[in-house]
Amino acid sequence: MVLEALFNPYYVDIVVFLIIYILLGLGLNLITGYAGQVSLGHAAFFGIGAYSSAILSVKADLNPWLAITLAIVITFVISAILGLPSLRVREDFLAITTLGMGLIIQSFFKNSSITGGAYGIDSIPTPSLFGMKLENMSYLIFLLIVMLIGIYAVRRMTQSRIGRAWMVIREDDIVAQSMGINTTYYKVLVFAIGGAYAGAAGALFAHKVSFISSDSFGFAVSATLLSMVVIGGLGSIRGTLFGVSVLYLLPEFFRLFQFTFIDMNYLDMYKMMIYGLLMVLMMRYRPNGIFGKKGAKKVMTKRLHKKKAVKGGEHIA
Amino acid sequence: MLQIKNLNVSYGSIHAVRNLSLEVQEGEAVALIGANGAGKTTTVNAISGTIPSKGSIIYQGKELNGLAAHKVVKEGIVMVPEGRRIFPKLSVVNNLIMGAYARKTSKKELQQEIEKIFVLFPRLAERRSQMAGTLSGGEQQMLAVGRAMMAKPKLLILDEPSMGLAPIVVKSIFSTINRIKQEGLTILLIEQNATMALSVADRGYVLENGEIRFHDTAKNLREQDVVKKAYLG
Ligand SMILES: Nc1ncnc2c1ncn2[C@@H]1O[C@H](COP(=O)(O)OP(=O)(O)OP(=O)(O)O)[C@@H](O)[C@H]1O
Ligand SMILES: [Mg+2]
Repeated sequence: MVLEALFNPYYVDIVVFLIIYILLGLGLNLITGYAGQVSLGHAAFFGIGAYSSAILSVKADLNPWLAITLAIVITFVISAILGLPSLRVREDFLAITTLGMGLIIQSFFKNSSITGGAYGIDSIPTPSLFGMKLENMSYLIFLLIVMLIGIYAVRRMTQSRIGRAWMVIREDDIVAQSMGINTTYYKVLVFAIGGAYAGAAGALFAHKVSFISSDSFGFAVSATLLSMVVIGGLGSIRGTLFGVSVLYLLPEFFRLFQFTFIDMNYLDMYKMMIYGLLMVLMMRYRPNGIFGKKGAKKVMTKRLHKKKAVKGGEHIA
Repeated sequence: MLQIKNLNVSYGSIHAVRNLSLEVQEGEAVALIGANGAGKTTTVNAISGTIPSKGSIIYQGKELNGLAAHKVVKEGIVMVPEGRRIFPKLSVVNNLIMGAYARKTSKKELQQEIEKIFVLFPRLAERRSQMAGTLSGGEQQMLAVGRAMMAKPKLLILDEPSMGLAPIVVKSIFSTINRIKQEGLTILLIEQNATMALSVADRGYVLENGEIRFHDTAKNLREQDVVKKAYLG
């Protein structure tokens, strides 16, 4: 029974898409969480990865593995270029700029002939390993490995000099420069790497679903991802895993049990409403996310310090 | 060590720094004094490469103008920015560690250097794991100076270290600056508080509306009537 449920293709798919979202979340968390560069256009990187791999494997007839690898490289490069505005604008302006770029890229997907226009691209081949097609459970296992590598790489990067540079840039861009950090380089780098994660997710998505169209790479995906990462906690891997899992599985859960009090046709709408509500509550009560640094405990010590400061009025410095 | 010649900085139609020339010799402490809006911070930013400027900034025989900010730091010019700008969400120790970013150091060396900073500023030692944002203004200024020292500067630029601090705290910070100077570090000290600045500096420049009005030894400046009236109260 359990085994049957485990291999139920429907559940397997849910987990596969969950892992794809986790990869997306990890990349966005690098950009927005660790380096502090707000991005509302992450779905564009996702789409670039998906379309690159689809075009290379369908139209150029490349081996899917090669197509996926090249797709990651292509997304790395394009993301670096799309990250250039972060050198000039910050915060809310950067959010609007990335949002705009996301919309432009989606409309390119929809209208260009190379991306198959409104029809999209179909018959994207399934990769195979040792003569075995990676489908369902085997694809899931493969993705699981990719995810673990992805998590490990984020850990390593964020604990290295690169990670420290990103953190300083997030805290204070100008001071980062005057500490000898080449902010231009590190900002472009974080967009490139975060984008490459999304590119990998996109390529793996394309070869899973075998058909892609521009609808899968719209603003709703970018906004959903940002909610997931923010709610989980910016700058925290556990936070991303948690935020993505909860927000991704929640609607699936409703779909699964077909509650009579919810009209399933409006599930996507409810989903956005709930994400929105969660975001507002988060901003109010846990501005750093569930797993964010400076959680409840530290906020409390902050209060304690303040109290001490008031008490010790004779302290001057 | 540092020779600035005919420095000009404009923000659109505002000509914030005009034909400024200034010199700092090795081992010397030089004060740049001026009222609000005189162009002090603008001058510092031009030296550190965070804003574009015209004119020449020669440092140890090398032209700095046009060099990116992070490269200026590698040359050994480190600044303590106006308003301190410590990293509020990081602990005192982590702020100090970040200061050493430009250099490659082992953990052990870092540890020793941090302890040296704590000798300079014992108040920080007691607060080593406290979040920097919760420090008092004076402690934050100490941390900002400590963080800059972690970069092992050859020329330390301090932009208004006395800003918004009680006189007694200013005194304590300036006595530490003096101590750093005695150890041989070259210092460019930007201040509105001329009394304090001239008590530490060897020489001083007085900046008004973006132009240098006077420059002389600190001793002479302290005795000059015009300076006394305008800046020493
Ligand atoms: N980013 C900017 N854009 C436009 N004008 C600026 C900018 N920064 C400074 N200014 C102008 O340049 C002039 C000099 O400013 P600056 O900050 O250098 O003065 P300051 O001597 O450091 O003053 P303070 O003692 O108040 O710090 C001022 O008139 C100011 O309004
Ligand atoms: Mg100033």
